[in-house]
Amino acid sequence: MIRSALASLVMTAILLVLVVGIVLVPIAMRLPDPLAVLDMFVFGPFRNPRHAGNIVEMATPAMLCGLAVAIMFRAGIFNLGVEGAFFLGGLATVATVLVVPLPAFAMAPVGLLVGAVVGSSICAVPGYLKARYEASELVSSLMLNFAALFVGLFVVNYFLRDPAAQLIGGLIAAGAGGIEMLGLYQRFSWQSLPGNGWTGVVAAILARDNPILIIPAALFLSYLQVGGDLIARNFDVPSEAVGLIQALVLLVVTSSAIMRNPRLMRLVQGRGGAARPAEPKTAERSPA
Amino acid sequence: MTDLDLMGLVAFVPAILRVTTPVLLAALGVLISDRAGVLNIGVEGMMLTGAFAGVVASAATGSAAAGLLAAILVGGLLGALLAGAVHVLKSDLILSGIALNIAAAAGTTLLLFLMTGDKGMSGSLASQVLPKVTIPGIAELPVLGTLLSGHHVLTYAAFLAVPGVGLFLTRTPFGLRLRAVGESPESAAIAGIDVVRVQTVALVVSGAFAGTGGAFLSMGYVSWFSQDMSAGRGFIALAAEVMGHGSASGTMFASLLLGAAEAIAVALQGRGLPSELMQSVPYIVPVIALVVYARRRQRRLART
Repeated sequence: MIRSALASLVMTAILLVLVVGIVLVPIAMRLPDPLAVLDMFVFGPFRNPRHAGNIVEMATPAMLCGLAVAIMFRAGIFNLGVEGAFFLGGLATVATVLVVPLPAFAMAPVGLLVGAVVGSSICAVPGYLKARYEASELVSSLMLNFAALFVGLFVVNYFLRDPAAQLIGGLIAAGAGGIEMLGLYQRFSWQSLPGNGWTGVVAAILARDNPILIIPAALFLSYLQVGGDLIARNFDVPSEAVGLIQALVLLVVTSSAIMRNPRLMRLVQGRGGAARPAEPKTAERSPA
Repeated sequence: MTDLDLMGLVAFVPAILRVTTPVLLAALGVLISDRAGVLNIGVEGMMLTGAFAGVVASAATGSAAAGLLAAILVGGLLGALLAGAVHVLKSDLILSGIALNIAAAAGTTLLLFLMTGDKGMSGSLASQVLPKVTIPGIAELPVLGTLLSGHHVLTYAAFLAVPGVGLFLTRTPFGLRLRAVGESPESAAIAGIDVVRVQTVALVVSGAFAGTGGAFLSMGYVSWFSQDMSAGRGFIALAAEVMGHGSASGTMFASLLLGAAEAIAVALQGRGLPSELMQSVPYIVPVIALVVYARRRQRRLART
């Protein structure tokens, strides 16, 4: 049991390296110094303590989003509202800190609590509609993501924009220590859905919905993001390359033909695994 | 109702048809995939890639028709890739679709940057647009002319495809096999139907429809490609298909309802209502419609 879990980890690691290579090498080859690009992507995030810190910072929301996705997937629910929940949660946190007069010590906890309650509504509504009316949570959560974006932009542009310019720096700094909005940014700076919810989906899948494994999965994904941002800043490569890597990771890791391939498993496990009977369940998931 | 109101309504029809077109095309694609038991979540990314392919190919060849063809082919190719992910790699259908959407958003941005040096818009590419069709003899008539003539060629294609898809699903041998696979892949396989082949064809056709919807966005709705321009229309198409409960005509009426909601929201935006709130309408209406539909179904079930 431990052995096969280890084999699956090793296999995942090998696949991740392959996927990163498949996406990055052709892009790097286009540039005059491909090795410098790869070097910057792979080792750059560790060279500078600030960049290494960025990994942990970016991994925090990915972990929480990943946890949210894992909980829902484990319950057999395909609720994809995490993206909208993340957006609206961040906005509600900032709005609370800006609009409600609070003592300095209460800003971060109250702001985060309000953010969590408001943000979670994007996941709760499809959940309720599913439970009460059997309305597809997949479709309604995808719709509410976009609804959250535009309603959020309305709130920003009509209610927060003016005081934001004057107040936001000091107030947010006072409430610092929170998550993403309070921790990473000085102001509310999203004009589109930030994509952390989808990163959370990839993290949850990469971790096989295992809460403990979500930590390394999220750290790995944000390491890719930091590496992507580094090469985008220093070379002529858009950071969107990381999106391609994420998509391939999602595809490869959910592929039971790869992850449960008895021959590959034996290869990774070495001679000891050869005696084990081949995994029987390769085609059990017929498309519903 | 006065004559003036009626004329206002008639003049509004082209706007409704315009916003309905991409959703209807994609929704028909979703319908075909759903009836084959492989709900195409990747429709959003296929639309986006189709929009991109149309702009690039029409700019390269100087021909709008070549752009449309490229959009259809690329959409079909992505459908084949999704089928490969499900049947060869044995990945999860929904998650593969999500992966396709993530890859399409990243890939089109990346390619646009490599081609033009711009990540946001394809303004520097001299892409073509598909024509509007004026029907001689009808265009001159007072009300019918506005209703029936002068629409985009893909608008006609979308509405003509509705009976086409309906007949294909209900009257052709392949359509019947496709639905048999969707109802129960196991029984269909026992009956000698090649499930993998049927589902692959369904996803390829589904992708071709989504690609056509994408071509409308970049070669009709507007005349350029911009980052993430599909903006959830593929997901709205998913909602339309669910609301249409499995029939081509139902899918069309649902698409028209969502299209009308969006057209009204766009018109109200022009009257000074907050544009952000109006932009959220096309995404909130499907949720409300799904609930209304589900409630009706529940009541019907409770009565019997």
